[in-house]
Amino acid sequence: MGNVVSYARVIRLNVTTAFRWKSLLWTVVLFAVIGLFGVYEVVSYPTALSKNVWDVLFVTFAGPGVFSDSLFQLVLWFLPYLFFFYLFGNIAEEDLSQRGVSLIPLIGSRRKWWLGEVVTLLILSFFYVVTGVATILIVSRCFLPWSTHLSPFLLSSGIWQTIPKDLSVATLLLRWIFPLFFGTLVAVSFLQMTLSLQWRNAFLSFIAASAMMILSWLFGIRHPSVVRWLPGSQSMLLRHTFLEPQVRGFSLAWSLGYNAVIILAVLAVSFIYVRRIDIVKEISEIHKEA
Amino acid sequence: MEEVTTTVAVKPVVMLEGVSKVIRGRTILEDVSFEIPPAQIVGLSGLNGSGKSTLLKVIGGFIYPTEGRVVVFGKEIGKEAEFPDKTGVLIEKPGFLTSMSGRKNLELLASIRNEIGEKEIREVITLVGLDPDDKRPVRAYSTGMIQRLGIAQALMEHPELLLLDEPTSNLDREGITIVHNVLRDLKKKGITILMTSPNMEELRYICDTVFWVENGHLGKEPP
Repeated sequence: MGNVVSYARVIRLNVTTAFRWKSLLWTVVLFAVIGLFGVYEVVSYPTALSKNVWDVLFVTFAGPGVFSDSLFQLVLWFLPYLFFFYLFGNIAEEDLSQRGVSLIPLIGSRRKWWLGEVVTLLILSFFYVVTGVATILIVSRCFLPWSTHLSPFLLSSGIWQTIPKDLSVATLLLRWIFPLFFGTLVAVSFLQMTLSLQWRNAFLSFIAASAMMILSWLFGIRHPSVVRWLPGSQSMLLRHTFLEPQVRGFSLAWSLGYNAVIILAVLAVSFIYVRRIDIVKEISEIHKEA
Repeated sequence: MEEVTTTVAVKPVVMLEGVSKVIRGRTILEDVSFEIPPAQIVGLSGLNGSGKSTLLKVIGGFIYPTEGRVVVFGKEIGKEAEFPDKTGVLIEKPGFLTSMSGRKNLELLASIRNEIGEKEIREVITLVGLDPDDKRPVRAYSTGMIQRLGIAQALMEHPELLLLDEPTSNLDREGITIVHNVLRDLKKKGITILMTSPNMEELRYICDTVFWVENGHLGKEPP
């Protein structure tokens, strides 16, 4: 019990360190702008069918399809990831470089410290996704009506032809958007955080994580057979079999499993690596002592 | 009647045996061995790049030696313990959250172990000559004030060993006097202190033993 309480204190300290009101404000601004683009796309679609806020949510989180090379779709899908990698992907490296000497001996072990960073990233990812979804819904509500059901526009294939006719708000939000966005965000940012520790360079790991997402988009274009193997594709609703029948075997379960394997593999490797990591940056040591 | 004298073997607080550290092919420390008995102030001096800071980091468990053994309070660092027990550390520039006050920073760090309360934190801040009621964020502190806060953090959880890397750098004359007085008081209380300074005169003034570090080797006097 004492350990749990002590851990809760470490995580509270980590979240306090990583959280900035300014970051929250910019996150809201980013998702508000993305939401406005989504609203524009939905409102400007010529149809007599009624629309509502969930149409915007679908459009903004659907991601680029396998036959789409639209840069607009790419940007709409990629920006939330890019911003998260920028804000939080380097929390561990920053913590280690700036506070490691004070903090880690107090925590007692490198592995305990690393676990704290992992849990912190999970918490930050969760609130980032919730903030994003909530902001888009609020912005959409300024232009479109609220409803507890998906719109006739969405269900009658106005946006995407293969949308299941019995799709519910709960399925769209809790089974599609949330797990895919959250799972991919966590998997890729865990990888980024681990690389930043391995390379002791936050910028390079940020570039690596961003490149992974961009290349997932690029290599997947017009290649239905490879999309399910690409890490970034896991969060693209429109590349999944339930919305794109030409892509085989790319189910929700596949994406959840894929992200889980990445997360577990990265965790296993990082826990082995972090055990004997030098808390003081090697490069600065050499420069100082040279 | 014949007087009988007995010698009690004093267990060293810190013991290094053949410690070497090689970083990217460059030897920073080479075959360093020494012991520090309890309640002593030991100084390490040397030119920039001599290896004195690395030695402190190896003892603190922040980097592991390439060869050799570091034993602190009877436990081998890296094998029996990851970090030495009951040790306060000031190494490199102290990293505090710049948006919070000095006291709030110490309270957050102290909350991890929850061994000390507000009273002790206030006392230790006062001890290093800072104001515990100063509400300004750390970003408004001078370099000397941050250094004092770093020393306060090293002292706050009542350590029995202190590792201090250039504790008086960036301090004005008043600050240096305060730190020297604090270190002497701690020694009287039985605390062991290992500190570095490029200033050999300062170390001779405050320390019981001074080592000269040059090219990763340990000697008694500068050449």
